[in-house]
Amino acid sequence: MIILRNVKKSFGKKEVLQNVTLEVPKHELLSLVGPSGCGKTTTLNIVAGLWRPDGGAVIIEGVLVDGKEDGHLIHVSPSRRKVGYVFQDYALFPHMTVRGNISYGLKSRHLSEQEVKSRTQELLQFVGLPAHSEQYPAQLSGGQKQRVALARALAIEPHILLLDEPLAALDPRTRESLRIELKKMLESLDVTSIFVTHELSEAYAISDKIAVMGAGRIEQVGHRDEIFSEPNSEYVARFLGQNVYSGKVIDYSSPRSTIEINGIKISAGNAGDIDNDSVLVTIRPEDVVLSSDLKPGNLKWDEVAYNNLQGKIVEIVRINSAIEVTVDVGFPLRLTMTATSLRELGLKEGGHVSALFDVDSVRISPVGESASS
Amino acid sequence: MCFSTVRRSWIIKSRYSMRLQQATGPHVSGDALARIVLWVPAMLFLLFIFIPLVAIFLNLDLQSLIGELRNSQVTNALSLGIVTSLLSTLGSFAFGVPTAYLLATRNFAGKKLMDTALDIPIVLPPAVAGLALLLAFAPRGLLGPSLRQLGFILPGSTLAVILSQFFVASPFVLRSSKAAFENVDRKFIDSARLLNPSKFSVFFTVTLPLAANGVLAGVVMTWARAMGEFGATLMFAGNLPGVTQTMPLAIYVLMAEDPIASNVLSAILVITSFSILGIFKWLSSRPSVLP
Repeated sequence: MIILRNVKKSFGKKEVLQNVTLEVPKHELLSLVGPSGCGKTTTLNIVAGLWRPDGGAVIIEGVLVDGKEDGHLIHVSPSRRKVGYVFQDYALFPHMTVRGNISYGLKSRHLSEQEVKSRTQELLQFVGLPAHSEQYPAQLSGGQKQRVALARALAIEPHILLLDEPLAALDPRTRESLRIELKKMLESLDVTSIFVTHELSEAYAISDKIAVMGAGRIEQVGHRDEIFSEPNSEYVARFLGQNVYSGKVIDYSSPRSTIEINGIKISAGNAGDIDNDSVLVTIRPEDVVLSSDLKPGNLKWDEVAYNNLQGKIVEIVRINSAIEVTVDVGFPLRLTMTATSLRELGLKEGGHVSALFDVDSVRISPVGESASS
Repeated sequence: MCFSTVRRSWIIKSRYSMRLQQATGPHVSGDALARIVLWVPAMLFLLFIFIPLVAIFLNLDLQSLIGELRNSQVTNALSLGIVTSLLSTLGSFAFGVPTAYLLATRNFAGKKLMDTALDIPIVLPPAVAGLALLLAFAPRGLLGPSLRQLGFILPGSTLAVILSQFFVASPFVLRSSKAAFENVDRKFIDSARLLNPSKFSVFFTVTLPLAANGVLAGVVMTWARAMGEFGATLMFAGNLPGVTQTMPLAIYVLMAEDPIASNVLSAILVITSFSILGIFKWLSSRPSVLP
C-alpha cells in the first residue's frame, strides 16, 4: 500500500507539487496520468525516496518513510524502501551486461553466489531474455531494454513498483504490442504499482484505476469508466478531450432547463440545484451524432429529448482508427465517429449538417465546482 | 525530400562559388581557393612542429643510443624522472579524484573560489610556481621552520621534485575527473541507489566506471606534464644528479657537456610523450563505456 498525504515539493521558486494526496491499495495497479510537466515524475521520485518532499507524508506498507513522527523528520533512504523503479529511458547501466544489470540489486544484498545466479536466471526467463544475458544495453532493442529494466527492478523483490512512462521511448507499433505484454506481466506480479503516463489511452489500457494529475495536484481518482463518464472538474473534462464551454442558464424550468452558449440556446436537464446563472457546460464528443438530412422541425425534440443544432463542418481529423469532426454550431462542437459512418454520411469539410445530442448528455455545473448531470 | 535537400545545397554551393569567382577573377575557382586557404597554413603548421621532432631522431644512431644507456647520469635522470612522475601522478590521483567528486556533486559556500584556486597552477609560469614553493616550504619560508622541526628540509630533496610536479600537473586530473563526474547521468546513480544500500559501492560500481575514461585521460595528461616538468623543479628542488635531476633538467645540463646524451634523453622523452598522447587520444575517442 502506498499513501501520499499533502505532499509538497518546490524546486527553487517553482512549486512542482502543490498538494498531492493519493492512495494505492495493496496489490493494486494505479495509472497516474497527466500532461508533461504536471509533477508525475516528481511524485514517483518522492515515493522512491530519491527526493525529499518539502512537506506532507509518504507511507509505504504501513511504514512512514517521509514525514514527521513525534516531531522528528523521517526520511528512509531509497534502498531501504524496497522500491522497484523502471525509469523513463530505462537507465540501464551501460557498462554492465543484461545479466550484470539484473543481478546488480542482488549482489549488494549478501546472497550466496548460487542464489544470485538462480534468481537472475529466473528473472531472465520471466522477461524472456535468457538468450541475451551476455549482451550490453547498447545492443538491445527498446522493448528488450524495457524488459531488462523491469527485471532489474523486480530482482530485489520490491514492496512497490514504480514505472515512469515505460512505453514512451518505443515506436508506436512496438508500443501497442508491448502494452499488452506489460499489462500481463504486471497483473501476474501482484505488486502495488504506480504506472505513470501522459497518454490517456495508455492509462485506460493498463489499469482499472486511474488518477488524473494536473499542475502539481491530483484532480480525480477513480475507476477508468467513472473518470470518463463523470469528470469532476473542468480540468479533467478538458484533459479527457470533452467539449467544455462557459454558459448561462436562461430558463430554470424543470425537467428541461435552457442554457445559452455563445448566443445559442440548448436544452439541458434540471438546473434547479444550481443557484448561479453562469455555468460550465460539458458535452462528450462520443454523445454527439451528425445527420446530413435532418432539418429542424422534422424531429420534435421535446419528445425525444434531443438537441438539434445546425452547423458547418470546419475540420475532419483522423486519430488512429477514429474520426474527429469539429462542427461550428455557433460554438465549436467536437465529436467522434467511425470512418465507416463518415463515408456513409458523405461528410466533407465545409458541409452543412445537423448535430444531435441527448438533453441528458449535457452536463452543467456551477463555474469552478465539480460537475453534476 | 532527400533529393530536394541535395539540390538545394548544390544550388547554394554553386551560387557561392560564383560569387567567389567574381571576387577573385576568372582564373582561380572557389574550390581551388578554399583548398589553398585551408591546406597551406595547415601543412606549414604541421611541418614546423614535426621537423624539430624528426631532427632529434636523425641525429641519433643506435650505437650512441646504447652507449648512452650506460651513462649513469642519463640512467639516473631517466629512472628518477619515471619514479617521481609516477609518484606525483599517484598523489594527483589520490587528491584530485575525491576533490573532483566533491566539486562535481556538492554545493557549498566558496565552491567557485575553490574551483578557480585549484586551476591556478595551469596558468602560472612554472618558474613562479617554483619560487612560490620555495617561499612557502624552504627552511626560511612560511612553513619552513615547522617543517624543519618535523625533520623535513625540502629543497634539494627528491620529495621536492615530486611536490613540484604535483603542484604543476595535478590540476589536469582534477579538471578532467570533475568534468567526467558531472557528465555521469543522474539517473544511473539514482537507479543504483535504489538497488544498493552502500553509497561507497554505488560510487565504485556505477559512478567511477562511468567516469573512468575522463579520469584516466586526466591521469595520463598529469603524468605527461609531470614527466616534462622543468621550471618549478629547477627552482624548488634544484639540479642534483641522482637526487633531483630529472630528464628535462639533465637534457638542459648535458646540452653543453654531452650533446649526444642530451639528444638520447630527448628522444626517449619524445617517444614517451608520443605514447602518452596516443593513449590520451584513444581514451577520449573511445565510447564512454564498453563495448
